[in-house]
Formats: sequence, C-alpha cells, structure tokens
Amino acid sequence: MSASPLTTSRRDLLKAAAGAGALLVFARPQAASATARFVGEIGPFVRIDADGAVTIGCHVGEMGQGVSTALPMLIAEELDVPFERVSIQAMPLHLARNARGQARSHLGAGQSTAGGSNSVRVGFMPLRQAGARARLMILEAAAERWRLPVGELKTEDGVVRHAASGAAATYGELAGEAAKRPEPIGEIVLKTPDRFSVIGKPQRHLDADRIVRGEALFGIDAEMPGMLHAVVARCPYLGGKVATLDEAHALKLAGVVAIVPIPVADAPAPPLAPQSTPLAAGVAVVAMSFWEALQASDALKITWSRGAGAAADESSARAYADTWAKMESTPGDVVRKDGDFANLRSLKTVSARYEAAMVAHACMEPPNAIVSVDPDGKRACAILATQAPDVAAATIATVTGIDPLQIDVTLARMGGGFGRKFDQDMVAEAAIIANAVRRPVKLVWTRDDDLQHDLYRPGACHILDAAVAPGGRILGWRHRLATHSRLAGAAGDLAPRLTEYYPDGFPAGHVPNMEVEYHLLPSAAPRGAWRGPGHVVNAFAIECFLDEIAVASNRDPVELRLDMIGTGGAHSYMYLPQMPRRTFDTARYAAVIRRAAEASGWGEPMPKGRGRGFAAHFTFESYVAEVVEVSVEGGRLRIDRVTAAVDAGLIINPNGARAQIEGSINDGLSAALGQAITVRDGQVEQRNFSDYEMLRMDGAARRIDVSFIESPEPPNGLGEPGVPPLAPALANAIFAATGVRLRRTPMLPDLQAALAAV
Amino acid sequence: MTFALRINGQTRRVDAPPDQPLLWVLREQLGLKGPKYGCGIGACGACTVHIDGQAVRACVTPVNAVGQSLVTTIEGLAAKGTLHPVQQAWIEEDVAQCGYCQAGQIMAVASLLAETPSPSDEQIDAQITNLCRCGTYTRIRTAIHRAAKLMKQGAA
Repeated sequence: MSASPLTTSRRDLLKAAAGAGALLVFARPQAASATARFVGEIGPFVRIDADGAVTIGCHVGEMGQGVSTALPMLIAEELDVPFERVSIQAMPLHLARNARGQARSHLGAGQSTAGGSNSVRVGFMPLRQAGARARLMILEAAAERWRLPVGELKTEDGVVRHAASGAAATYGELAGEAAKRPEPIGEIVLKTPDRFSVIGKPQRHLDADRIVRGEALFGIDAEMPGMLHAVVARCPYLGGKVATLDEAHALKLAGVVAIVPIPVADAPAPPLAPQSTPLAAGVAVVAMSFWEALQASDALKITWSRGAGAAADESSARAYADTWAKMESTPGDVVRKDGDFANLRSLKTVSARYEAAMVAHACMEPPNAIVSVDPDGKRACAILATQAPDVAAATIATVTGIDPLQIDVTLARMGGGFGRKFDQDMVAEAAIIANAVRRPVKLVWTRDDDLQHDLYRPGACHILDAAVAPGGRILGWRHRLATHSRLAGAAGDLAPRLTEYYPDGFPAGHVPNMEVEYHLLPSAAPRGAWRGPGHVVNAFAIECFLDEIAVASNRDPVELRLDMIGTGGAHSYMYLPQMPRRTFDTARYAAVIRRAAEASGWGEPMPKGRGRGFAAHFTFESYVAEVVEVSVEGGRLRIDRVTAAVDAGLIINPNGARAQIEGSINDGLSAALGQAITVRDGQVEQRNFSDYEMLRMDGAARRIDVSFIESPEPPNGLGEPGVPPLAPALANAIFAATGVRLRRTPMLPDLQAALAAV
Repeated sequence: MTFALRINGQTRRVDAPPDQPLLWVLREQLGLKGPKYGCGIGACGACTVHIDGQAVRACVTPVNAVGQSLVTTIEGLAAKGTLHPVQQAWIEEDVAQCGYCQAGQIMAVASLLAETPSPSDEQIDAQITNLCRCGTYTRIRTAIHRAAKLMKQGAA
C-alpha cells in the first residue's frame, strides 16, 4: 500500500487512465461526453487496472487526522475489496462551477475542505455510493460476459463469483469491460452494517511506512522546476506598514533575484475569501535558495511604522483589564436568555471568573505555499498544504486575476493543520510573489514568522454566576464572556456573538433561568480557527464552573451533571445561523459521562497529592467525556492517566479514531498548560519555541484509555471533539489533588505560583 | 566553499557558505527531505540527524562543522532497506499522525537506544525532547519500549 501526492494535472490523469483502459468511476452518474465529465461532478474515486491494482482517490487533505485512511475505507467497503490491497492517491481538485457560478471542487462528494471535523460525516454516504457504483459496473460486466443475471453474482475480496456454475473473475480481468459500460443511474442499495468487512476494523495509517523512512513529502518538501524561494519580512507591529526600504541594497544581497512588496491592500476580499484572510504588510525577498532568501531578509535595511489607533501600542494586559471592567459595567450582546436570572437573588450564588490567553497554531510544518504563474499571466498552478483547496484557488484567482478554472492545485500532505491551514494568507502571499516574478515560487515561513503572524486562537474572559437551590439544583446560570472573535470583522463576517459561543451547548436547556452575554475582547492581532474553535475556551469555563458548583454544594461533579440531564433527549442545536440545525441528544451525552466515570474508576479513593477531574463537551456532533488523573509531588505536575469516553456514532477506523482522541488529549494539555501569545508595545512577544512553551514527552499523559460507545448512528468527526473537555478536566483534577483552583490558561504559571506560596 | 560530506554511506560534494546549516544543505542541495525544518534554533528536533551516531539538530549545525564525520539521515537509517527496529516499532504502534516530526523523533530515539538499550520512562522524558503538535507522545513512549524489545530480540 502506498499513498502519493498526484502531480499530474487532471487532464493528464484522464489521458493516462484512458490509455490504460482502466475503469474510472464517479460518485455520481456522469454526463456522456468526455469533456463534460467533470462538470458538476466529483471525479474518479476508483481506478482498477487490468492487473487488478485498485487505486482509491482521496479528495480531502491529510494533516494527521486520518482522512486518507478513513475515507478510502468507505469506498473499499462497498467496492468489496480487501483494504490491505488498495492504494490511495491524493486527487486533483477538479474545479468546476456550481449552479451559483462558484468554482468548487469535487461537487457532490461533500467537501474537500477539511474543517469542523466534517470529512467523515459528510463523505459517509457519497463515498460509499462511489464504491457501490464501481462494484455494480464490474458485476454488470461479469453478467454480460457469462450471460447471467446480475442478481446471481456475488463479490468477495475483489473477485466476482457465480456459485452455481463456479464461474469466477477478478476485478482486474473485468475492469476493461466494466470501463466501457454506462454508469448506473440513481442511488445504489448499500451494505447493511452487519455485512461490513472494512468499516469498523482497525487500520493503520496507510502512509506509516513512508513516514518512518522519511519519504512522505509535505507541502514544504515539494518542488517545481525552476523554482525560486521566498521569505517575507513582515511588519512586526500589528497593523503596521513598511516605512522605508533600501531596495538597491536588498537587490545586491547574495542570491537575491527580486524584491516584491506585500501590500495589505492585496489581501483577498470577500466573498471569495470569506475568512477575509488578513495579510501583514511586508517585503518578500526572492532568492535562489531558502537560505539565501532568509539571510537576505535578515539583512534588509528596512524600517516599520506602527499600526493605527489602539494597535499602535496594544498590550494584552491592558486589554484584558479593560475588558474585565467593561464586562461588569456594561451589558453585552445577548446570546441567550431563558427565564429571568435576576429574579433569583434570594438563592445561594456561586461565582467565578476564568481567563484564557490567545494561543498560536504552531503546526510542526510552518506555513508555506508553492505557486507558479505562467509568463502570460493566464494560468497558474500551485502545490499547497492546505485544508481549504477551493478557497486557496479562489485566493490565487483574486490576487492574480486568473480564472479559477485555469488554476491547477495539487494537495500536499500537511504537517499539521489544526485550523491554521484553513486560512490562506500564505497562499495569497505566494500568489502575489509568483504573479510579480512569473516563475514558480516556494514561500516558506520561518517559525518566528509563524508565531509572530499566526491567526491566533481567541483568548477569553468569562464571568459565571449560578443560583443554586437549597437541594443543590441549579436554577440560574449567567455567563458573561468576552473573546477575541475568530473572524476578523470584515464585511460579511458573522457577528462574534454568533461564532464564538454555541448557545445550545450544555447547560442550555437544563437550567431554567439562563443568560449569556457576549463582549468583544479587542486586539489588532489576526485570529483564526484553532482546533475546536469557540468550544475549547468556552468548555474550560463552563466545565470548571460546574465543578466549582458541585464543590460549593457538596455534590459529586459527575452526579451533578447526570442529575441536570435526567433522562435526557434530543435538543435542537444551532451551529451557525445559516447552517441546518443539529441535534444535541443529552441521553447520548449522559452515556459518555457515565462511561468515562466507570472506565476511570471515578469515586475510588486516591492517595494524597493525587486527584481526578471530570469534564465533558459536545463538539461538532460528537460527545466526549474525559477524566484526568494527576499527581502533584514536589511542585511537579504529572498527568498519570486520561480516560475518554466518546460517542461519535459509527466508528470507521477505530485505530485512527483512538489516535485522534489521544492526540487531542496531549494537544489539549499542551495548550492548557504552557501556551500563551501576548501582545506588548503593539507586537506579539513570542518568537519561537524558546519562549512559546509546548508540551514535550515529559509532560504528556502517561496513559490514555479511550472507550467508544458502540453506536448505529451515522459517523461524526473526531479531529476536534477530544480537545474541549481536556483543560477543564485537568483544572478540576489539579483542584482535587492540591486544593488549588486554577481559573486561567495557561495553567502552569499559576500552579507554580500557588505551590510556591504553600 | 566546497564540502565533501559523508552522508548515508556516500560522499556527496556540495557548494555552500560555511555557516549554512547542514539542514538546508541536506534538504535543498542533496534532496534529502526527511529531516524537517521546524524552528531553526534547535528547539523542536524535527531536523534531527546522526553525526557519528549521535543525535544532532541539523538546523543549528553549520555545514563546516561536519568535517569527515559520518552523517546519517532518516533516509539512511534503514540498513539496505530493512527497517531499523525503531522504524518497525513506529509502524507497529502506528505512532504517526501528520508525520512531520516523526523522522526527527525516530532519529532521536535510535540514538538513545544505541546508548541506553532499555531506557526507563524517566530517561525517555529527559532525553527525548522533540516536539509533536499532534500529541503522539503516548504512542511514542510505547513504541520506544517496543523498539527496545525488538532490538534485544534482534541481538539475541
């Protein structure tokens, strides 16, 4: 098995496939004429060569979330081939115009954009249909060859058999005839789950062998013939600009070929780039090698101007202090209001404040992009490690003026994404540079560039108040929050109160009087989506606060949650206003809470200095509860064990699913314990891993147990839902172990200070 | 300057400024893309290679410091194509997610096991300091112990 990036254009692929007499199968019936084949359709997901080799296409970028294994498993299941014999190929984009005239890839296959933990959820039915369609065409070819009814034929392990006559033929033997057949029309009846032989069976990462040999190529490793290298010197001041540049000096530096200004006005505008990807003003140094480009960018004689207004000398410390004061003195935007919280003054009140710093994505592979613009400026091609290839193509189109259908995008493996590679600032920059020099250009961000100019995860301030009845029932819940919104606030962006808090998340519907108010926490630093956007910072406050209420009312935190839920049931859940409402089934939520408690030994006594903490959260339709077990000895925190219970519906690849939860737990620890991006004097303070503390081996969870609820429900994603419960479960565990209540992320500085004071 | 570097069993001639980090010589001039760029200051370990068997961070190793030492990159770790026990353990434990840091992790671990064949968890904590944002650490630890066993079996 192998997976490799595809570097041919879609036209070449078609030609190659047609020449080999291979069977190309589409997820939906195709128009008859070859030239029209891609219009409105999604491209060849299945190829079977005469020698029996089965290649399955993957249309979503792999960034470690396991889609290049899980999605082809869906096709292989219905195609009825052993997954071990399949090879996987990253697919070209097949951009085509949809009914609204937008250039989109793989229409009908769900989305090629990797985000919102969506890929498996959205691809589940169409990809199985693609596999089933290919199988049916092979069956029909066999039926014709043997002059037998299709209904008498069976497939198994890539072979068609007729039991009565003993006739048998491999898929490879039938591929040539099958390829000449018209594609079946309409939905095909799919396997029932009891017949699954691929789905639900653990598969290893298909690229594992190439990765351990150092052969897996990422975006940053890709090349184009005649490629130049670019490094951008970006203004260190938020919203600042280039004041002066000695261009003559710059052009004399070793290896330098060109100097290209990156003006902020070139940023892609809505609606092509709805994230309104902000660019930092700067100067691109284009040279023969990365090293020369880097040396030259460091040697530039350049001065910068500061940003305007509050950005000029922005300070996080001041912004947070001002925001805390504003939240108390001024009403915010109403996000949710049930009943009347103010009427509950006579009840016992529990109150707490929580704070989260901004954090950076810090993908191990820094942002990069390779873009080439033809000398006549009419065509472009790109090799991109991106989560959002459609938006990438649109971004290149906007910057260069080239028709998106004249832009070939090859998806490269991503060295982590986590939301960072959803945005297109690096692509816009590379397109600006390539358009100026009209040659292939590889742009690589240094780690300093990355931490200084990330699209940061919003930080947050939360003020929570609960009114608790004498029996311990929570009758009132008021949540005032302020966050940096993850959208930049451009025209067309949703209001932050809609994107930064999910108004139907727990405990909504389980507390009769509930109010949520939103304030903006100001910053000129650009922000973006960071694994579990909104969920992570909100779950920290909500789930820590539930723990505090439990302690204040002398109740067990797990029992408190289960009592609030009762028997549970379906609640309508707004994701974003323009999207269909989803269902938050609190019976499923209660089930993961119970499972995590059971599996972790919740309630069993622990020695001094050790403690367990609990938290749960509903993220992108998956339910996750986590119990963190810590020990604190001699001022040192150790994460002894984390137990997770997960209901994500049907699990496609149990091994990959478990890896996602394990990774989310360690990633959650990393962000909760040490990471903080701070602004001082109008600049981001952190520059590299020396001053941005990420988790290493010594801080990782020693043991992780993941328990999946067996479920017949359709699958949901798992790239993000494991993260939100981690930070609150950790803080609650540290409280249980030490009595120290940590209400701020990153937690380590406060923990160390508290332990030192004891 | 011209350097004759001994890399993965071959002598490779390159022209490079003497202070250019070995990483960029490997990646851009010799086409060895296994060692990755992660930080440029030796803080993340994605660029880890062996120099005379020792794990070294190539992004902060000037090419003129290499001399006649033997350089091994991840591409040269599998002797004659047979996976090193650490690579084998990585596959068996299915460690990698995005995979970007894993070449560096594997090189760091191979060097650790060469000197400490059965490392304790504390030794692993102290000596394996490479970053992984995917958070594969828990599987890395299991894989290190598995690799140690595989190496013992191989030696027996």
